[in-house]
Amino acid sequence: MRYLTLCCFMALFTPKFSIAQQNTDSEFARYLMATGQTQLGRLEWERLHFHSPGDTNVLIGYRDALRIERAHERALLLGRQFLESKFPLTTETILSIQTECARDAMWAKKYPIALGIVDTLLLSQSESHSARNQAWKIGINRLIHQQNIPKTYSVTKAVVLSALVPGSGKIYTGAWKDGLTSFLFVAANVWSSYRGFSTGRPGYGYTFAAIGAGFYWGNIYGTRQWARHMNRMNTQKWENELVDHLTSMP
Amino acid sequence: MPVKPVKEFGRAEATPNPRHEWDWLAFASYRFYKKHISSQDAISCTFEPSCSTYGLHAIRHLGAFAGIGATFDRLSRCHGWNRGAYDVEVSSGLNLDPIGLIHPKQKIKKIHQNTP
Repeated sequence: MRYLTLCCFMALFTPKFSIAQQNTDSEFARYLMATGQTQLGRLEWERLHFHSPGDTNVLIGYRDALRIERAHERALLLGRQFLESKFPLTTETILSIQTECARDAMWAKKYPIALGIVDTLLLSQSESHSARNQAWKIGINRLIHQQNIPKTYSVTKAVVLSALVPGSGKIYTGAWKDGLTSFLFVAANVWSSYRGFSTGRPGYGYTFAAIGAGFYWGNIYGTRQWARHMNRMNTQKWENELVDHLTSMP
Repeated sequence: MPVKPVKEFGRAEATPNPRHEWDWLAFASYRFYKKHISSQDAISCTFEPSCSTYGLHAIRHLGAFAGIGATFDRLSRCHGWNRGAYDVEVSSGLNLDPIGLIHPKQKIKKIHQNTP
């Protein structure tokens, strides 16, 4: 009798429990993401995607969670696996997922893959050879294959230059005004220190030598940080240009 | 793409960390400078936060060695030719250069980047 009751209970309530659980879990994952618990939210989305791999809404939620955690490579892989699966999808859905895959490829710095996806997208359109599409493709090709953007500065080169001639590293990274000021500060302190020692006032000499050493070290350290900062800024600017161009796809 | 946030640091006027002697020294120097030297002069620093506050932040957050370097670097960047090189605070018209701008100690967690 006990087992019979249990079987009846399971037959009556288990499907409802599972459906209810699945429905609420999607809300729960959204709640986790909204409250900043991104890791738990991502895990929840992953679980939901495992249970219902053909659900587009779950795919979007999971991909957004991965993007928030900057796992763009995995988001790209997710989108491509979804497209390669045999789920019945409308043309609009396929196009939107492909566009998102191209964005993920950009953010993951997989530019050749992004270009391949863009080519597929253009070929899928009926007017793929129109002048507008071709102009857009030329623009994105130019951005991807442009060698000077992002202009990256060698941090080692900048530091070595600064160590040899104070300020020259900053001039190399484009901040010639800062470089000139650094050179003047170091040179003035070294000159004052030399004058102090040569005129028999070692107190002045040591004081200006200490200040000059501080400026010299600060110049080297600041050049390193500035070169890295400029590299970051240039790369970010270039990536933003690429993503803007991708978003404006005809 | 999600914008990488510049890391915000705490107020300079907070009490120094008692575990670090350099922090005490920097805090004492900062207070002396602010009370007896800087208060007797007009505002001449072109940056926000000012160079003294920046130095205190730098020593607190980067350590003594790198902090002193960052402070001297900031002093050599504090001149009248740097208009346009930084974002400008609208209310004061000063260049915005918090410690987190050039020294972002961001450790962004990159998970599963190499997952096949």
